[in-house]
Amino acid sequence: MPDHFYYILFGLTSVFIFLSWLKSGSFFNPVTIFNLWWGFFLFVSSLELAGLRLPSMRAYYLLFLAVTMFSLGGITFISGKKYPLKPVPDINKFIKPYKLTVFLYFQILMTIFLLIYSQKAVSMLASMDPGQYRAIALDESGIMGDNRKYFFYIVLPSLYINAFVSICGVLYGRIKKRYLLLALFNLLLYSIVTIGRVPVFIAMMGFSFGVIYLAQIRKIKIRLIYVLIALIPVIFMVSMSVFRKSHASGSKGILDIFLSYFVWYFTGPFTAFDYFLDFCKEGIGYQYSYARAIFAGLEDFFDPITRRVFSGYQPINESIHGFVSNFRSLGGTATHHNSHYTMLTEFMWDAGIYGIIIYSYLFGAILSKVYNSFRTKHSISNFAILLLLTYLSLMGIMRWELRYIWSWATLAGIFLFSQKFIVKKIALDPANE
Amino acid sequence: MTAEQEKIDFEDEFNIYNLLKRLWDDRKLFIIIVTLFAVGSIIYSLVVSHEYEVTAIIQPADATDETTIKDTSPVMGFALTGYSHLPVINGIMITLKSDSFLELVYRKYENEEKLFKKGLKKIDEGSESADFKAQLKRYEALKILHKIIKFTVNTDHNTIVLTVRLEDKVFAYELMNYLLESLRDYIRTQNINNLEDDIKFYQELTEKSQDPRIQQIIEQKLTEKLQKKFVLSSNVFTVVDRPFIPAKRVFPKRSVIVIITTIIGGFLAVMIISLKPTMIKIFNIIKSKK
Repeated sequence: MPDHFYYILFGLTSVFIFLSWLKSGSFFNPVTIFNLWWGFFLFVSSLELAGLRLPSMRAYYLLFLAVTMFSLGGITFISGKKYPLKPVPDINKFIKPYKLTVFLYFQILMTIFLLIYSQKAVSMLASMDPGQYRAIALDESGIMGDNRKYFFYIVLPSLYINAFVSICGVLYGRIKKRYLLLALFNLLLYSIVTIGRVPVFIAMMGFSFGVIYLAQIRKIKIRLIYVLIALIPVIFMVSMSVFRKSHASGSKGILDIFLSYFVWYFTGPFTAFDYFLDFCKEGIGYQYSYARAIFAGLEDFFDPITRRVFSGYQPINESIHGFVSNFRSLGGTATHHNSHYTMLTEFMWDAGIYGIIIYSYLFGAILSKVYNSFRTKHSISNFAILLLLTYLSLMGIMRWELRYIWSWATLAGIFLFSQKFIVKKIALDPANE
Repeated sequence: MTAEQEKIDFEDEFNIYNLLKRLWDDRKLFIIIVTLFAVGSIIYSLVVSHEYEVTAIIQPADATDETTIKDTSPVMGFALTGYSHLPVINGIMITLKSDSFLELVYRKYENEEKLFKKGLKKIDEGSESADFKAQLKRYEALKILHKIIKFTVNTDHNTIVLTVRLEDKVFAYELMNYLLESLRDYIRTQNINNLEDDIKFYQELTEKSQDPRIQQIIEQKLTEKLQKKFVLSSNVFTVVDRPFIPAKRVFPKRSVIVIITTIIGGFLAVMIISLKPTMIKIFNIIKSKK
């Protein structure tokens, strides 16, 4: 790796972190978190760990461009901090307890549903190895069978809505802890059903960034208990990784398996993105889709209706899936990489390098606007959307999650759930102004 | 407002109206920054050396054909991890990426400045030992060749698009022709060597085997291998699109460079203007403390 890679990496990230800190008055703002996260994994990828092929400098330049544009958008739109913090009015109140009870019952319903499926999963796992089970888990031939659509449209978004609303509610001290425990238990059950780690990872990220954001606005203090709580999912994910890989890993130790997974998942996408640049050219492998790729999750959401109205309609996700679903070797033992090509792939698919510039900038700007809103109005919806968008911006290192139904449904669900059905807006108290 | 408040209360509330107002107030600064970026990119695109690209498209003789008897071994015996394409295409790609093949090109054009510029000569001027210089030159040369020679696979048609990018278009054309020729020879030799090993292996098996049925099967395999040896000796790939001397450069793409740089300059200017009040306040605080 040439020396100038490290100069650019450390130069860019430190300048953006400093400027965002200067402007927002808070060190842990979305721009800093984004730069620390992306910067760290760009650095790790340059070390050529786990035998992964090193991406070319062209891929790295595009990644730097995305980080730069996100940061420019973020810093431009982030607002300054008010200090001493004026008492910010809590605009969302759970005014009708029975609606909170409905929320609880809905979670219990999900628990029952997932318990039935987890029992089925355990019996299926008795007759096949975990790798084989995982490979078909999300297919029609897998555990979900014909009910896949219900899982993607209802179950998964519901689980995430419950988790994000509960995390924010508990951290704000407005919802009882049992709601959060139930939401986390449901995510755990879903992880067992699909032997996936993502749901637990999302919960961990949501909780961790929730604590960090609230500590920044001095709503809470970071305590040891929070760190310990955030570590529980790590133990679960390590166990799950070992369980999934144990049948094929030979004499590899727990730490080796987990570290390999860590490197493949978080830095493999850079190599995969380089592969995309090499072997999927605009005009040959794909045509520009002009903003369809970034809204692909919405397209999928309305797919059943659209197909009826427009004959011959093909969702953009099918085209992208045609390329990203193939298992490819990225060097070393990572011979079965697919799906994770970084969010830049979707940006390129939409509008080439202009897509990277515009979308990254807008993403940074939107996240900063949500962050501003969170700092001025303490509501569960603002906070939950901020956590979800922060998660999506960080997971952009792997893929553009808004390509999937769950992310849009969760965003809409958080907004509707907390704004209309559970929480009612009340007039601001002029005394608090 | 207390001193403490003044320190940190940089901005009351961000909104688009405020930003647009600031942009209008600081329009001169905005225009200066954008113009600097635009002019800088124009100068760069005019000054930077032109690059030309020579392209050739090749189609493997039989893209799906394996050349060795060992199912699990990679094509042509290379132990490198390849991309997931058809075996023969994989083989060509691995060859193009391999140092041992590119070394042939290096040996042929070792003293060619049009290819290696002055990079290799500089190493010669150093005070290191001759052995070390040779190793360093090889390393540098291969690095340059990896950058210059590129390829992509068209999976729809099972073809490989080869490109050579250089400042001298005539030399790029010459290099591409040499590349195609040596690639064909190299792969042919590799294939034949592999097949000869296989044939030897089968012959040994036939001699050892006592069972006439097994001998018959092995002999049949042997005949197949001999036939394949003949085919692979005569045809490795077809050049479906021959190289030609390019009329136009591929780099710099002036309009793209200028547009992208100007857009980035514009966004940067907006950020700087949005940061201006914060900077002024910090400056004032520092000034008042002094």
